[in-house]
Amino acid sequence: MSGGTALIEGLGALLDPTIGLCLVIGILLGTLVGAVPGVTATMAVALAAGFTLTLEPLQGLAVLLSIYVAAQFGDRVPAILINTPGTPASIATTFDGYPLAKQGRAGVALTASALVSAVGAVAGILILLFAAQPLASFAIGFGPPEMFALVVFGLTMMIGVSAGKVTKGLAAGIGGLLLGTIGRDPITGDGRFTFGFAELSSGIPFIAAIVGLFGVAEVLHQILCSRRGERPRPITQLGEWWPSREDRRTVRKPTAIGAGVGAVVGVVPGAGGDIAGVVAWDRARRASRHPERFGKGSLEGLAASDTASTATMGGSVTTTLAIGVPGDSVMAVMLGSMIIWGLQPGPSLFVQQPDLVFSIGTIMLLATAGALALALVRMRGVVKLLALPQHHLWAVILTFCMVGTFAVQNSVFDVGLMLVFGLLGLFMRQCGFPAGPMVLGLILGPLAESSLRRALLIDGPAAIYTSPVAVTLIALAVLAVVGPRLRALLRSNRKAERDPAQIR
Amino acid sequence: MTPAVGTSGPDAGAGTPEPVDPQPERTARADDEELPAAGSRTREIGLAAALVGTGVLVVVAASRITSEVVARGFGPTWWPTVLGGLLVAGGVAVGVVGAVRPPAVEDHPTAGGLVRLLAVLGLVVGFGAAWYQLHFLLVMPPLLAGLVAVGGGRGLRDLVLVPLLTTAVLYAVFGLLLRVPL
Repeated sequence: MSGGTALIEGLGALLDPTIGLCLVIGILLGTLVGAVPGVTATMAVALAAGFTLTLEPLQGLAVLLSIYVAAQFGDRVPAILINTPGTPASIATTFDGYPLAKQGRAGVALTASALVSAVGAVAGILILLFAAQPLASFAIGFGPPEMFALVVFGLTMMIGVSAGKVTKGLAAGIGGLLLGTIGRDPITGDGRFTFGFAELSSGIPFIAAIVGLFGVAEVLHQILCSRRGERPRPITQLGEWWPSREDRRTVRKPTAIGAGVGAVVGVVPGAGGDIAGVVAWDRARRASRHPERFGKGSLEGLAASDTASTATMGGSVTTTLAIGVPGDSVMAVMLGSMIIWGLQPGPSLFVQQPDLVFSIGTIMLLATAGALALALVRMRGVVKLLALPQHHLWAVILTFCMVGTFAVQNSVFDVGLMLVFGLLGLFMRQCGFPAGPMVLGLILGPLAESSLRRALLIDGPAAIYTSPVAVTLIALAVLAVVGPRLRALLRSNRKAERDPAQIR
Repeated sequence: MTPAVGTSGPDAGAGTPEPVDPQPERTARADDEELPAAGSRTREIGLAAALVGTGVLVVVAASRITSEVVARGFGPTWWPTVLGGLLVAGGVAVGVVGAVRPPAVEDHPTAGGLVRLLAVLGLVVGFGAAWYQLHFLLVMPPLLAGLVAVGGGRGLRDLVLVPLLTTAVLYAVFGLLLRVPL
């Protein structure tokens, strides 16, 4: 299929009016969940996955992708007005967004944030449109050794970026891989670790696991650690709302820096908008003529971080769909849904269905336009969401988790399992284990196992160490885990050499 | 994964600003007292022991998997055994890191929070048992009212209107639209 034909077919597939309806629902839901602290995009996509499974793949993708995109616009509102990131992707927004709001420039901060977020999103989507196909074509030649190395690479990248939790991230990843062994053996078909439950013979029900780990665990954690009467005061005086010409000129350079950083970070498996936002904020500060204003209400800082966090989306989708390794935790959840729809993300997906790249890119572009319009029009309305009582949220989320999980297979067993995963997620969170690597291990475990065993059966360990791609990926994986430690060690050694008195 | 209310947490090393305190309104209550936490080092070593124990259990359980297909050493037991071994190694690493540099506990549970958590779990289990006997429309509003009440909701709007409205939305979406046999 030529590029032109793929483009026409990809756009033609979106002419179904129900896809438009799905987009609208997704944008509204995404903005809502983004604006409400405590509901992450991962949690929302996990919940929505429960009731999009009955839809056609493109309809379901329209809902999930538009939630993903719109949440990145909605989450700026609490970050700017109450210094609380709506989702982790807007952590860096608080650095300058809240100080700007305290200076009476909340309106300008909100508008500028929405505009640069749209620029970032478009930059990311361009990455998807132009890089997905070549990446998939390169990866289509991967055999079992390369696929195994790719899974190891994706898993360790997600662990490597979880600052200060590398060993626990590794343990969680291994735990996820172990959960992936439950059910039938991928090569011989023998049953393993099903404990007599017929429901487990085809593996752990994925939706029950992700809803439990991301949705129920989060609510239970908030219930366990909440203090009554703890409510941040939102800033209600928004002031001017449209940035001046001077403001617009100021944000051009940091927006470009943010788009570049976000595009690169987005392609790295496991690294999401939170990391990109902080990295871009730091880069923009170094490049600024007024670095002293950063952290005290700099529009440049806000522009860099917000552009970067939305620019990661296109790269994340590219990595997920083109090579089958999730770009971030939202993509890990979406990858599971796609497998259930019968779309197997990986190199062959875009090679066999090149039109899908254009369909997905267009869905994301439309979602960006819709979310931007909603952010600009309903800004004052969204502010009211910040007053939503937490106990309403807890009750609604918990009941949606239960009914949504039941709806997938009409199975009470799945609901029970979701609760077990909720408690496991709560325990992990209390003990500092990240849930992302566990979910990634659960999803990619069967692929890792079958690839490694096939490679070993064909040619023994030589199958791996004679493949340059596999060796490179495994070396990068080792670097991702060991690198930050070594760098910290070298830095502390250098510091000790420079100032020996300090260590006494 | 979700940042706590009022506490943006940049964790990106040097150069990032300290989060500004959004001045939360806090009402001190006895049940907001933090629960006495186990010493961080002790807790980390306990976690490491649990991981090592789980790893050993996995290796033992894997050795009992029976297969009729012989696959030259790479049969159904091989991968779980490798992972069990890796989990033991991971547990040791967690123990060593935790003993040398115990991490700070990020979020402390409160006594009131523990009571609320147990009440929520009790309500959910009770709901599950009642759902077997009664129609969804009869059991969901009391569950929602209970959950809202446990969270601190009071009054007609919190305990009657919100539960009824949420039940109606759930039933309309799942029962009527998606035809799930609730």
